[in-house]
Amino acid sequence: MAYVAVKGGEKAIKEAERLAQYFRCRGDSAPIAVRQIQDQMRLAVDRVMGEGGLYAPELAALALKQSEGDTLEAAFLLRAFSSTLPRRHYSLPADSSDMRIMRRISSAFKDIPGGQFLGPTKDYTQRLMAFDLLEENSHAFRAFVSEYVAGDVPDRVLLTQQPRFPKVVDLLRLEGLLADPAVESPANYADLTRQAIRFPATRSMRLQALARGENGSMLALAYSSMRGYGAVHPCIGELRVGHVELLVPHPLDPTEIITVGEVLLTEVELVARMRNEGKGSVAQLTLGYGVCFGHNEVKAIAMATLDRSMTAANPGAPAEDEEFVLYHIDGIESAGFAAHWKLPHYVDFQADLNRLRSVVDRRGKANDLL
Amino acid sequence: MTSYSYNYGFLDEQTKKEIRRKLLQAVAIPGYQVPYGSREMPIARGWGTGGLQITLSIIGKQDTLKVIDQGCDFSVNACNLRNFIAATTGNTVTTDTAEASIVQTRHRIPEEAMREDQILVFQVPYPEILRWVEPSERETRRMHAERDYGKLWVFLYEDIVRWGEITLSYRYPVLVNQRYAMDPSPIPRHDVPKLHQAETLFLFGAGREKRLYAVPPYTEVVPLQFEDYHFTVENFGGQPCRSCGSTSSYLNEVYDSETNERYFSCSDTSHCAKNSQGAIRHE
Amino acid sequence: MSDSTHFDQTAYTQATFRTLLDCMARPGKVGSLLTVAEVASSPFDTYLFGVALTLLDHEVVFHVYSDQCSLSSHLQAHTMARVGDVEECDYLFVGRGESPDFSRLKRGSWQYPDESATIIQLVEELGEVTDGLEQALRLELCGPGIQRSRTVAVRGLSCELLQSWRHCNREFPLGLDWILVDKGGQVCCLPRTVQFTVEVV
Repeated sequence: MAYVAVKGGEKAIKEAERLAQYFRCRGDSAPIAVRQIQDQMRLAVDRVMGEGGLYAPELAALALKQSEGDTLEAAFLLRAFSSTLPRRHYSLPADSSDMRIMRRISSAFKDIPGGQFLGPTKDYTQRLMAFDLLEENSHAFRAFVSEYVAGDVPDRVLLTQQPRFPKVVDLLRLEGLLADPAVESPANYADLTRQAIRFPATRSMRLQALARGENGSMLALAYSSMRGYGAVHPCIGELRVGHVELLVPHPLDPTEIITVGEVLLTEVELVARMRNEGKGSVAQLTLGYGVCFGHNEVKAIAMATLDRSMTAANPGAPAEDEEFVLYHIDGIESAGFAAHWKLPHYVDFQADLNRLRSVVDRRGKANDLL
Repeated sequence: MTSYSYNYGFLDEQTKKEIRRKLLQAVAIPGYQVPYGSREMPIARGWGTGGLQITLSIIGKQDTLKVIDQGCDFSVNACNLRNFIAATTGNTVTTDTAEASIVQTRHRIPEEAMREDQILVFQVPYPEILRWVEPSERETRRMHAERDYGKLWVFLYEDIVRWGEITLSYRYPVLVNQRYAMDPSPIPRHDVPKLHQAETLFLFGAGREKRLYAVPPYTEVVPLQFEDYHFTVENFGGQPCRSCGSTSSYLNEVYDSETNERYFSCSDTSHCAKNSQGAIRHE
Repeated sequence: MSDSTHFDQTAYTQATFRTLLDCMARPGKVGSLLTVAEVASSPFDTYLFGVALTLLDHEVVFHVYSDQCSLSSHLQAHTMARVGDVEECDYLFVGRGESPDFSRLKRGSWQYPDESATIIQLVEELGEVTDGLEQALRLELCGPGIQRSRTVAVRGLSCELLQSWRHCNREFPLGLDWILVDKGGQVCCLPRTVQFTVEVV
């Protein structure tokens, strides 16, 4: 079916959509429940919420189902939905030192106040295919959970307690070894969803853009800096995963604070080398900060790396150039634009052909004269 | 389940207000790119979200809408955008340029001369004409501020040295009101002169790049050119459109899917159909 | 529309905006603003209030220059916009016969000339011809949006204010855009690109 220039456009759209629906359903398996995605594809759900910029696990799971697992498409669905929601309140800054922790590690110190707390991670397991999952049945599935919960598990692992830990980087701060980035007044925070970013960008805008950035794009740029296009040499002061309460002032009585819910966050405080600023260089470590919705450690590390790398006074590498980084990490924008090349461009192509032939003609004439 | 319903024109009223404020400023500073918030739409970035946000912010119940892509009303993306706008506004749609009060377009200006009571909304992929020569936004902002277009002139000059002519075919740089260099969106050269001293208001929206700009009616819009290398439009060697016989409209080169024969036909399909029926008013 | 029990603010602000857009794109053209019972019931000027409803929300700052001191809080309550000083405001509302100091307003920066103030000013009467308008200023306009030239007559505006506005626009693209609204809801826009000659008739 032709996709343009015929009066079949309307019909073609409908048929293509039905065909896509058919491809989703034709496998003869039972439809996936959104709840299953939410529970068992939790890292995909977290990723989609982060890139979509909306904390809504059920809707993110629905988006994943609807997009047949395409995380870029799912994040786009979520973003488009969120932009129709009125913006009623801005929450107060959340204090992550009050985080209800489920995982918390530091690579800077062997032991830390409160202790390393591995939590749910596969970091130290062999990446072998779990062939037994091919035939996993619901009986075994549930049996594992009952057995696990009945076992000798500390309460805090089951998150029935609320362990709180002091922040590792505060130790460095206390000793005066850590240079904190300049702090903006919350009154000056701009809202990335309401304003186009400007350069030089404020740090709050920068962090907002990074927090909604696409995993792969951010990872590639951060990795380039880690490999040597830049000189961040990071060390993870602390990585923590857990729940944080969100508070808003009461709209009529701002002295009253209301808890509107809690979100799962991954936060990374990355400690990097001293900044080399010539003679006046200060002997202090520098901080890179990363935070994102859900459990997504690679993204938080990438974000913290980029937050630090973009502080370079004279950008010498792509990851140090804030305009380069911030304009190219948004998955909804980049994927949309990459896909738009599928749209018809025959008017411009015709114009190009016209110029090309004109040049060829002129050169032909010039050759004739020789 | 919560049930959701959308506002008239999909966008919430705050979003429309912001875009409206910025549009008034864009009109007051012809050719200058106004940054704006740009909301995510249920249409992919790069697929006309900038034009769409403008259309949805200006449209009212009394408007009649036409949407074209490459000059064609029935291109799949034009259909998709038109359906979306119609579904969220309930407005009347048309394919006839003369009937429309708002025309949203991608890559073309309709052949039929537009009037004072109409608005043409462009979908813009690259709002920054200086992107041809400078990738950094900070730097291009500075260049516009200082009216420093030297790099662009050198680029055009080198093109002539290398190829014997300026090879830019679409997104041809224009100077608006003798002040701002502007990207006219990827319209072919054929359409560029229509921007100059027009009766119609032109609004440009770049959703992904979060910029909007405007050319008011009766405004000087001049393609950049050299005294000895004048701007010229496309030349189809006198070939007529196979359907309507027009030799003055912008043509597409098409290969017949059955005979493989190459032929030319109008890119503006609604104009072509009217022309075939002798319904075009020639002045 | 005024019979309707339900005020359709969406439709009202859309129509008002389109009039403003048309007038801003065609400087000197005199357009007509709608009158609606709900808006007319405002204790202040109907049309000024209508323009405020159309342009203001919590993202912008406005300032009122008028002897009606409660106008500010009235606009704020209906639009959620923030009241600020003349120096920081995005919109300045000027009462009839008032002559504020325009030079204190934001004119934008060379990189962002859009970060400038827009003035909404009440005048006595506007017309495209001077017939019937006594003691009016007759402006001969040219610039973008105008085919050759256009004439507009304004009663209730001083020559001095015109000159001070012109002075603020001496460094295009920096400048101030001006929306004039008369008692009968006629509106005329003068963007910073407009050039004019003036005579008293």
